[in-house]
Amino acid sequence: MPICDCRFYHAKQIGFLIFWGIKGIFMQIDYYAYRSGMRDWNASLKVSTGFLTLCFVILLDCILTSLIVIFAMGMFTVLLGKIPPKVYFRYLLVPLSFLIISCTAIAVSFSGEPVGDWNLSLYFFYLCLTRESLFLAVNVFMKAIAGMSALFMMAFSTPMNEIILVLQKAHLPRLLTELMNLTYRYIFILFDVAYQMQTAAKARLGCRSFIQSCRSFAAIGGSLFIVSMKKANAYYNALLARGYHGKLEFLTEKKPVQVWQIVCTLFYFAGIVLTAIVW
Amino acid sequence: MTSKEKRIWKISILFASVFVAGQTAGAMHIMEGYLPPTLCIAWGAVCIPFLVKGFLEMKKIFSENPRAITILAMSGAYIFVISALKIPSVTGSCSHMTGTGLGAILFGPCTTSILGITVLIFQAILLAHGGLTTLGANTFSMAIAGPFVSFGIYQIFKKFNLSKRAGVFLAAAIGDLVTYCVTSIQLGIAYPSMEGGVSTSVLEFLGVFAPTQIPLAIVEGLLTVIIVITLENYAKQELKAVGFNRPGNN
Amino acid sequence: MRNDTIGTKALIEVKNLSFAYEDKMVINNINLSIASNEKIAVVGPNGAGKSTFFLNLNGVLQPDGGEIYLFGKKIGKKDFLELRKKVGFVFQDADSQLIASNVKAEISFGPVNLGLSRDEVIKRVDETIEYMSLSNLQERAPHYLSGGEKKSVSIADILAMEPELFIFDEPMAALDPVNAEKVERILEKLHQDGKTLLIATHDVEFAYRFADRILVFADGSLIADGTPNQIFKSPEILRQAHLKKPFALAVWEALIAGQIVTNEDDYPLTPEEIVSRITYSLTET
Repeated sequence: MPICDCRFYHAKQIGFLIFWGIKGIFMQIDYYAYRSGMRDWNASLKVSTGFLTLCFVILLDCILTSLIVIFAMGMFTVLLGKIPPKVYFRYLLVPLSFLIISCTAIAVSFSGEPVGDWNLSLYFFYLCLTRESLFLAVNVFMKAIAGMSALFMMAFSTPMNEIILVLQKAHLPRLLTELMNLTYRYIFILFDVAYQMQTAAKARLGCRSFIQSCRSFAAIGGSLFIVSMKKANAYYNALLARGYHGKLEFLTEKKPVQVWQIVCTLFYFAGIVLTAIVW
Repeated sequence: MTSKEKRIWKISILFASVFVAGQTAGAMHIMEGYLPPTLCIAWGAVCIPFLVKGFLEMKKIFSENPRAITILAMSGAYIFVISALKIPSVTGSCSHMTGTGLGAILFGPCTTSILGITVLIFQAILLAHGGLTTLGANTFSMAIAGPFVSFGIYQIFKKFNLSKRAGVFLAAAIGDLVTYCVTSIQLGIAYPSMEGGVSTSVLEFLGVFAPTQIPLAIVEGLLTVIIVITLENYAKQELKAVGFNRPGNN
Repeated sequence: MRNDTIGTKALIEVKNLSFAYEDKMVINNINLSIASNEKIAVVGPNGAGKSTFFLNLNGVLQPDGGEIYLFGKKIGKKDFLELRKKVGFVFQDADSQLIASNVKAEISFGPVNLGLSRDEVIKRVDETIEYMSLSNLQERAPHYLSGGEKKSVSIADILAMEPELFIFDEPMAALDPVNAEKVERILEKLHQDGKTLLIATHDVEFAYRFADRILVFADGSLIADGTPNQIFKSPEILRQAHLKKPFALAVWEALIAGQIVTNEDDYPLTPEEIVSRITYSLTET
């Protein structure tokens, strides 16, 4: 088994300790992006397809389009990108809490009188639900899921550096793309450091009470800052030592667009637009 | 079941679902595809002046000190990592700080706006939090409104020689609450209530997110205070490098 | 790089080099001359100024006093870029060096900075990957590599720039024995191919068996410069620089003292050599 798999399990452990919510899926997007079946596709094609899809989803604003996008993007990611379906679906559920809360707020409204198609009395006011508001909530829900799946098609198949390169081609200021490139690299270094510090804090029983864990967390936050600034200095020296003079440039591989890929993409967009018109 | 029992039953289900959904309380990122196109563009446009100011500032920093590139990249990575660390929580749910209040205090609000937008792009692409079409709205609430308010509060406390700890606490906590309020307003504008229009729906959004966001703001305030104290004691040199406490850092 | 420069002119020469960091002298009045294809170990306690000296030698830091000559040509205020091209620096912490998002791009960073054409860059990257046997890693991201792999890539980074002098700052630090051995083989290979090596290390065993010249730093000064035998036989130097006598040397000295072997100039460098020498002398008598 290649070493990077070990690293992946390591990343899984990090996920258990420090991740947004669901355990075990920290930074998996990045991990899979490097081994996606669509890795060799032209990055500009993937990014622009993803972005155009996003635009279509919110512009056309139609449930059928959203459903087609969810289906098509899911197929791209799972079948062509060979991302394990389990992982993919778990990721689609990441923003679920936000989605449930905010769609509930859209669907339900407060009122002094029992209006709407359904309502629930709360003594002082009523929670009301109308057909239109429910429909709107479902539509928003679908759009959001479609948006996520378009984002995932891009993120699960294109490593961050290639996305940054596309942004650079789209004339984002160089300063910003270079900053992003370095930030991307440093995130992983700081994560390693943070992970070690957190393990050390746990080993010294730094998480017994709430106050104690606050102290440990802040201590980690503080030392992480010190480490990051020290490293920043050393890293700049390392850049200079390799002849850096104000421009971060690397050899980039040319990944030409294949005809069948264009046909595939065009077919897909035509499908979306047609259904929206017919609908 | 009597009608009263039925009602209590329904209300309990409602509460349960809100709390279950609130188990992963991150900062309030508006997710991909959630906003209508006009608002995506509008909020993006609102951000532009701030970002341009931040960009020009950053350019000036670079021309004065080329070393700043690794320092700023590290700072961005720092905000990303600190906002992905699981913070201690009373309720047992899993929550995270925004880290932008701390960023504003350390690096100044304009720099933080640029660092903030890069962090938001990374969060969208690497962690599936937030999105690209909603980037403008999220940038405004998290990387502009919050940090500027935090920085303002921090400066006022400094100017009038008030307690520094209280200043840092309020800066971070209120910055967080501002982010939460702005996000609620953005959501309210996007989906006005059928009955009472924008204001009612803003109130609704404020209400549904309050149980997770208000404790979070307090914890974030506390943590930021302890971190800043730690840094002032042990990292004077590093703080100088990022321009902390420099007279004209805004 | 090429052997024809050996002996004709010093590759690099340092005269009265000093460097101060915020009013504190970090390195003080260093004089040194390095010829092509030498393999030199630099030893001395932490904080003795080795890393600062290297950064000066590589042109990242500019000395506060003294001169550096590259092939007899004095390096002026504007020639530091030239120095960075000719002197390659492999950092101790490989992470501090790796910045690109895949190994191939990473290796290309130096050559691109040298201003080479795309074809030349591709050629150099491919050659380096071949030389370091990294072909199975070339599409991988540095953050998914192991410590040993990162080290190899960081060496490849510098190799692709084809410098005249290689500086290694503790190349074996934080590596497991297998990977450390691998790095040592790479160093030996570089030497065989005519490169000049300057290696900072705390491992006296390695310094003793590998180097043909040793520089000793203490408190920012170069306190000794000589062959491994000269250095490690002097109790004074060992004490000043917090060094220990290499195992092979200690054993051999004990054997000489016990009159088991005769005292010749040619000392064995490793335990294996000691064994074969004893076996040899036993069969002789």
